[in-house]
Amino acid sequence: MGYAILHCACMKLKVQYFSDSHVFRGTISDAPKYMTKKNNTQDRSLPTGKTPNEKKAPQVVSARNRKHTAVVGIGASAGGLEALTELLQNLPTKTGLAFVYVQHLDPSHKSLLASILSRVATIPVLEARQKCRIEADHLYIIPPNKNMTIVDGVLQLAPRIGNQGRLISIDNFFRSLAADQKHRAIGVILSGNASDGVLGLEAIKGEGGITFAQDENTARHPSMPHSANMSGAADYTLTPTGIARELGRISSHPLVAPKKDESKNSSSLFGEDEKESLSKIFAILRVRTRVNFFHYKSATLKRRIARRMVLHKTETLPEYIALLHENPEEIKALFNDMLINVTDFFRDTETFLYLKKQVIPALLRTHPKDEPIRIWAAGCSTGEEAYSLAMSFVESMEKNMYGGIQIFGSDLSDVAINKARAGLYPLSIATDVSPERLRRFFTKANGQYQISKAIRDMCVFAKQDLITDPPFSQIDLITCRNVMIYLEPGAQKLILQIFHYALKPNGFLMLGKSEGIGVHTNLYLPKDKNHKIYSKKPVSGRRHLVFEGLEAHAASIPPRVYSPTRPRVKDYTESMARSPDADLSKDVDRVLLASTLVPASVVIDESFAIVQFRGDLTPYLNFPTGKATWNLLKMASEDLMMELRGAIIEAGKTKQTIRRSDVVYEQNGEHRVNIEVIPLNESEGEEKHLLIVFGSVAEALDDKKGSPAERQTRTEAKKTKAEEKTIYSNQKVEKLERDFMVAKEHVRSLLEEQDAMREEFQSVNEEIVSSNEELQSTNEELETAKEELQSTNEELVTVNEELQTRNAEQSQTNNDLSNVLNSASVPIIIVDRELRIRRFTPIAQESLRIAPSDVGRNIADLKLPIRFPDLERRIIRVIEHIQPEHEDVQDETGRWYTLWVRPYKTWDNKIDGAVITLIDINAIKKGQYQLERLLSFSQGILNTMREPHIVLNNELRVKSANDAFYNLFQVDKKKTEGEYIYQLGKKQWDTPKLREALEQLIEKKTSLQDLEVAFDFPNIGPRVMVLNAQILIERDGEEELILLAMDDITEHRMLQERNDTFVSMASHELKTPVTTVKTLVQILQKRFEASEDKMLVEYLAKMGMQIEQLTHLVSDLLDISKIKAGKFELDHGTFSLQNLAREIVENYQLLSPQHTISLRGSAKVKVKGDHERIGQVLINLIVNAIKYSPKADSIIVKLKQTKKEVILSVQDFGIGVKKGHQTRIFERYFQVKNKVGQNFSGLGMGLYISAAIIERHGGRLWVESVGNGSTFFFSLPVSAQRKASKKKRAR
Amino acid sequence: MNKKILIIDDNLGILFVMKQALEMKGYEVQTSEVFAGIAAVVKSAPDLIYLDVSLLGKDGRDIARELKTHAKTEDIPIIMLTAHANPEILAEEAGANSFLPKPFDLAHLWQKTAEYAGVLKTPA
Repeated sequence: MGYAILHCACMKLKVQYFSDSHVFRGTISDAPKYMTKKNNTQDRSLPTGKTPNEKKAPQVVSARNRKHTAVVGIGASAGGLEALTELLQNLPTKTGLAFVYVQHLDPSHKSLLASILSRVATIPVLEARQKCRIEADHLYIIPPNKNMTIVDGVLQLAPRIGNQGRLISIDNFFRSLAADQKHRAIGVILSGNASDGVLGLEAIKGEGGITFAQDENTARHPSMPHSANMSGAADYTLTPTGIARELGRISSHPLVAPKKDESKNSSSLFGEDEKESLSKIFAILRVRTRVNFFHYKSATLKRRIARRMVLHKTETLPEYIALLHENPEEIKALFNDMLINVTDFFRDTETFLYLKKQVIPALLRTHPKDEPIRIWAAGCSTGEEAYSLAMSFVESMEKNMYGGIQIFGSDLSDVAINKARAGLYPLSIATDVSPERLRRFFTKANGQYQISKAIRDMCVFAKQDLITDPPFSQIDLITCRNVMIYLEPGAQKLILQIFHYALKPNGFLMLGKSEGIGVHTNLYLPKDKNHKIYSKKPVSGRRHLVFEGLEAHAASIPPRVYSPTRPRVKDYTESMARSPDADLSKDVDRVLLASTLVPASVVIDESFAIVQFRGDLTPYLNFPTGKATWNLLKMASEDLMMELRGAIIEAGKTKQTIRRSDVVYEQNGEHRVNIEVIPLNESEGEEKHLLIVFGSVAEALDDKKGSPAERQTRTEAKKTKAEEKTIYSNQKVEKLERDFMVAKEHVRSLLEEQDAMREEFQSVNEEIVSSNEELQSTNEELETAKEELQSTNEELVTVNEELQTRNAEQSQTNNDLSNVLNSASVPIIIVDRELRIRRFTPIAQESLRIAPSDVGRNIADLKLPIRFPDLERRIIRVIEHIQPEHEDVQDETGRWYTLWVRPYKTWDNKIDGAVITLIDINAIKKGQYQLERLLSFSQGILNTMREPHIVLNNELRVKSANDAFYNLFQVDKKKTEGEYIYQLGKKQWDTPKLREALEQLIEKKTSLQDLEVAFDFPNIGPRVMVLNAQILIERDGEEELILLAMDDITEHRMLQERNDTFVSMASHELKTPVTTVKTLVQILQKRFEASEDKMLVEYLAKMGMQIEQLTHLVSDLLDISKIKAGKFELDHGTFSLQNLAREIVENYQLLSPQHTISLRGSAKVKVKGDHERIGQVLINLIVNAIKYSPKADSIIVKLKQTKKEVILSVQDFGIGVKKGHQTRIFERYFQVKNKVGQNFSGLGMGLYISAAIIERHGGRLWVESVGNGSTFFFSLPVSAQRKASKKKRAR
Repeated sequence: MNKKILIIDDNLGILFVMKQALEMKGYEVQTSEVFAGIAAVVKSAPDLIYLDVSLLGKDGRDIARELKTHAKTEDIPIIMLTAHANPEILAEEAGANSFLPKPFDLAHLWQKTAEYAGVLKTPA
């Protein structure tokens, strides 16, 4: 255990070393980590892995918190597991890094992540628990439905409230990680949707940590890494494997990992040359960026530089400087890194609430209505602060007076300013911004929030260096939060003075939580100490001070030459705080105390003015009448004055103490005095002061001689000596006295003269001084004016920048416009009000023969290749009436164009000329011509057709009719066209049948086929017609036309009817003679039944058979006429088809001995129908089969039963039916011819009648014929239930 | 007692063969080319009347209806003779007892007659 203690000592030594050498200030806090690393190695050697230090060395506890070198936060959502697995598999076993994995999890499910990941990870995987201290080479996983943060290296879990926070859990953790681990935080964003993690990465980067994002191409859901990349928050964009490798490398980088050789460590990195190296870096930055980082606190800067070094794998500062020299891009990157400042919307909510409650209302109340409130957000970074202020103001104001607020946002970083101007922020800002504000002040676009235009218009952003660039002026409120903490105290002071200058009287200054005004209590009055809000104190002479500062500052920056030793910022506050009085007192006290006396004395300045009185001065000074004065010479008595003047001037010259002893003067009697003039304050450049000490002579003697007795004896001795001399030279004395009086008189007059002169000089001098003062104040005013000008200039620069941006936008628009014009292959000419050509498209150049030199010429002066006589007048008319006009015109080659003249409207709807467009319609014209030809062609066809045709529109009005129509119906064209079809003539077309047919036609877009109608027409009487109709145009949106063709079949029908009547009559008339003959033959047969005359019997039998055939023929003819007349009636009964078939087969077997007729199959169910007629059909089929298979010997009758019907087939093996005849054989009077052309007997009526019978039963009759023989089928529906016959027959 | 059959038809051939055929079965047959009025029918008092539908100048159906409305003739069965397509309808319209479509078989004629006039035990 002694080992551990020894170690602690080492650590202490090391810390000592660091702080002593003033090196690496920022990493003092890091010192424990070196030690920790040692502990780690030690731990590893112990089998338990638990450190014994915990018990034995309590002073190491704080070091234990930082056992790991850094903490890696990994954030992912959908698809993250896959990426994390890849990352973990490629991670070196011992990195000394601690890992925390945050994933969006389903709140209601237990997460299996830990068990899944522990299978792939080489390091222990744990699900995070409350108050769990993180350790190196461990992976911690967020449990579901928790909000996780880290404080002092300890994980904190809090339940989530509602659904809020599910999609910002990564941001939450990363932010706390950044705050807790500072630059030792590492953030990794893997696959996932939305934009969680961006703000977190920015926070980590802001603290100097390192950030990674997965390469979008490898991410299953690239949205999250994409957002991180787009915002610039990610330092590295790599595959998960790459991230693992890079993490391994970073963990061993000297700035992250400890070194084994400690002495080497200090010298190789930020070593003794640190100061010099840093100076070099700052000088490079100063040259490249014009920003002086000497003002900044070096701790932060060093951390940021170290970060860049880790990223660039460089280990020493000189190496890094070399890199900077080689790579100008790195300078930019370093610069941007140094300026990283993390900010949020409404940072410090309490402060904003206070601002809204107290400060803003005060400003709104007091500021003049016609002036805008000016606000300056100094160091605004990416604009959140400025926009937050804008929103707070807008919310506080009653009306939407957006124009009344001007907000200037300034920052050093171009990158930040550009971001601020764009006003685009990730969706995760919803954490800081209330939904109501999001709704009111933001618009959502492309997965980002953008500040609304109105708010953006209130804010102006400019790049500005607080220290070197002139400030804005006349500001009501300045916010400068978390800027000064990065600056050296000198720069802080300067900035506070600049702000003091920039603020209006009673303006407000708002600083960050950890900032303050320091010693500047004379400039600012704290309004609220908690929120660091101050108001400006009116201070006289402030401008002077500020200008001195500015001048001094300006002088201190000779461009591009830099000396680090020279004081850059003069300490104004100090010079002001050190008032002359205070300093003088000290000096005087020092002098007086040294001499243990407090004699009567005064302090004067060079102009003899008394600055201080000390002791009792009444014996020496008096108050002269007239103008009050502090002039010592005027206050001293006349005699004293002479001596004083001489002594003071002498002391002033020699800078030594001048003594005048035993000076006699008159003031209420004669007195004597010793005078001492002591110059004070000998330092250069400051005003000189003098101390004048009055001492009485007696006192002086006292001082020198000791006891009063001795003094007495000496005085007496003097007196005796004088008495002796008096007698001896009385006369001489009198003479001398006279002379002396004369001389004295002379001197007095001289002195008076001199005094007069002096006073004159003094008054002249005073005038000069006052005019000088005037000049000075004028100068001051000029300076002020200059400053204001500079501020205005600054604003102008800003405005100019915005204008340039607008300009760029405009030129973009212009480019777009010219591209549109160029790519529109339509000739367009734009003319102004005077008809001068302003612009035209390239195609106009070709087709209208306009040269670029024609711009500015009047269009009337040009000879355009189009025939358009009064173009000018037309353009003028369009400009005057603002009514577009167009006309079809032809060019020289005969091409057709539509010429459009439209008014040219400016954005404010002013008419500033006209736009002439030529649209090539040649193809349309040609098409139109062809269409017309086609139309006349079809019209001609229609007219020459013999059948009447009419065309109806979709309202069934007659659009046109052909000649045949007019001829047939003998009607007038005028009375027909446009007329409703049902209204024609005597409304004869208006029948339900036609209405129904036409309605169906329109509705179903079908065609109408062979509709037979009979109408009684006014001129030509009743007619029977067959109608055919077709819809002509069926395209959407176009008028539908119906072509109705009619065929007058009246005569045809009459002929047919006559024919049918004849057949009917003939068959009827035939019946009587047939009956007679038949009966006669039968009587004869009966008579000669038993006759021996065989020939007679046989003849009679043959006659009977012939008559039987004749009877059948007559009966068939009658059936046909019945079918035609629609009078064919059936007896509806039910019967067994099987029984019927058996009966008939048996009968016909007897009749045709040549054929064997067999009945196969069975059908047990009964069918519905006319027993007799079905029998007729079956007989017909069997007779046919016999007849058409003369050489065969077999006929098969088959029965088949299905669910709904019974099918009967009759198969023969005869001549068959040709394919082409298979339907025709069912037609009326169709006859089959054999090969020789010989007719089979029969009139072709049997199958026709059979088909009619079967059809009327609801069945089918068909034939199949393959090769030899044919099979006839018929089907009959099965009787569902037994029904009595519908018709009762009288029997 | 002989059964007496009256046949009214304007076709002499039909009258001839029907008379021959029925007499073969022993019926007494009276034929007439025209309808001579109710009185004549009453006078001849037939057991069965065969009446042609289409007589010259007169519709057989009217005659049948007339006979059927007359008290003295209404009980005499009437069988309509017709070559018409739908004889059953005609018979119904006429109020006749039955019909015999032309052309008919001898057997059919005999069967109808026996049905309505009765069978003679001894054919002539």
